[in-house]
Amino acid sequence: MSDTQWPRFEVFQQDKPGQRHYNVGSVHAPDAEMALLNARDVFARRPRCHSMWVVPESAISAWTYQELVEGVRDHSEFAAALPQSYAIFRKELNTRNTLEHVVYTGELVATHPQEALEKARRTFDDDMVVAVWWVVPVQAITCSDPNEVDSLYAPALDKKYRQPNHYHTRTALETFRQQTHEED
Amino acid sequence: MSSESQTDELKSAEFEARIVRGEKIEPGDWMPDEYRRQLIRMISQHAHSEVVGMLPEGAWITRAPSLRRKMVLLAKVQDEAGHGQYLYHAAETLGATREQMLADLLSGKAKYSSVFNYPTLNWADNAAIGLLVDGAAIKNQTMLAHCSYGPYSRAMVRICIEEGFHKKQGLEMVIRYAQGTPVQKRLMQDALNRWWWPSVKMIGPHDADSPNTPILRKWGIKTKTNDEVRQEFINEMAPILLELGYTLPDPGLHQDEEGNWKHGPIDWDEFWQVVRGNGPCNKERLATRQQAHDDGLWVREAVEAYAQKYQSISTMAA
Repeated sequence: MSDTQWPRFEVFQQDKPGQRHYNVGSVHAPDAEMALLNARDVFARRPRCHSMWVVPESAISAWTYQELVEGVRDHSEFAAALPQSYAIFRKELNTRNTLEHVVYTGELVATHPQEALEKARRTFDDDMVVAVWWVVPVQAITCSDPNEVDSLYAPALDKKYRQPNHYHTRTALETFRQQTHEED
Repeated sequence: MSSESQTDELKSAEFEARIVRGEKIEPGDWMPDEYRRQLIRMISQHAHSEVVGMLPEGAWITRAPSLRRKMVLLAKVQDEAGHGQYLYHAAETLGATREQMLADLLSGKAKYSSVFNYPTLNWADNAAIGLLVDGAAIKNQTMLAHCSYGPYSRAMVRICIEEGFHKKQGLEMVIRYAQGTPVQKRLMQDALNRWWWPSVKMIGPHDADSPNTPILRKWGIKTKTNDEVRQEFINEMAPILLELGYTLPDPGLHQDEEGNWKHGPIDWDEFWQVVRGNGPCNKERLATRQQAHDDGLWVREAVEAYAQKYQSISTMAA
């Protein structure tokens, strides 16, 4: 058992208060608490993180643009259940911006993920062509503790040596050139 | 022709049209089996390279010449660990499992970049690795950031942003050595002599000997060939190093009429020897990884025991 890599948790990061959480990748962990700690080590080594969410991969229902166009998915697995809140995430079908992520879009109440998707397509009816939809029961999301923002994410702030502009290589090269000329 | 293969042809045509339109392919989208296979091969090799890539420099963390250099090196090696994680994630979205990838690395079945099979003999080697090895990797990764597969492309963008400092801390040291004592200059020159060719080679075989390149370009996985990336790398590195008063261990190196720095003949036999496991450090690198895996066993067991205990408590409470 100890040689397995444990279940996968998808990780969502919020850069600053008020901004939307977006998917940055995944970690493996035996539980959500450990997943948050791993996520912090893997994705928040630099000062642009205020909050993180982790979601077990098994709790995510995903549809791609292509799947919706073709209507290929068999939805019989979705049995009727009690209404609950679902978080909706989506990624734009964008051909220019490679930095486009799966981004948190909002929440709504539905009895199963398929219904949540259909509601989401009506509710978030802007001009965006959506490449990927993710539907996640809100209760499956584990958030980093808002009271621990400083202890989790502030240590990255003073590690300036992780930034390229900490190294004044252009100036150093210029100084080297001047020294060499003086010696000539 | 069966209707199934006709459907596949239609899907294949639509897939290629999406690539031409510049759309990213996402997990769940239809893709040719060979596209998936090539990506898993490339991404897992890339992930292994980040993981094994921690070892040559990691050996110097305890021997750094100042606290600042120690913090910088520690941060760089931590980044490589994180980058390995981003890439394993990208490969997993294609159906590869973490367990299998790690097993393949430890058994020696999987490949990683040949460049990490050389020893780091002096502190100056860390300067050479930062400038040359990271410099070459960034050229390759900047190209791969435009890759057609969404998760790989996004991992690359993040890695490129973070690795900017890896190359710069290397260049900073290379400049400092050039301003140092004759002994310091000699140390740096010696490191450059040993790391130049491995860095030039790590970009991969010549285009004529890269049978995968045409299909990888057609599918938008690679947007440049190995020789194109290598030319960019040498054009950037050769003038800086020569200006700083160093020499490069290539008697054939010269600038052509168009301003490109051309390299002399490359000893590919040596490259393939290292790829096949006969480099100076191949066995040591894998043994170190295996040791780390074994030493981590008690941590994995402890974390798992805690998770099980916590789960049984919350079940009882419910």
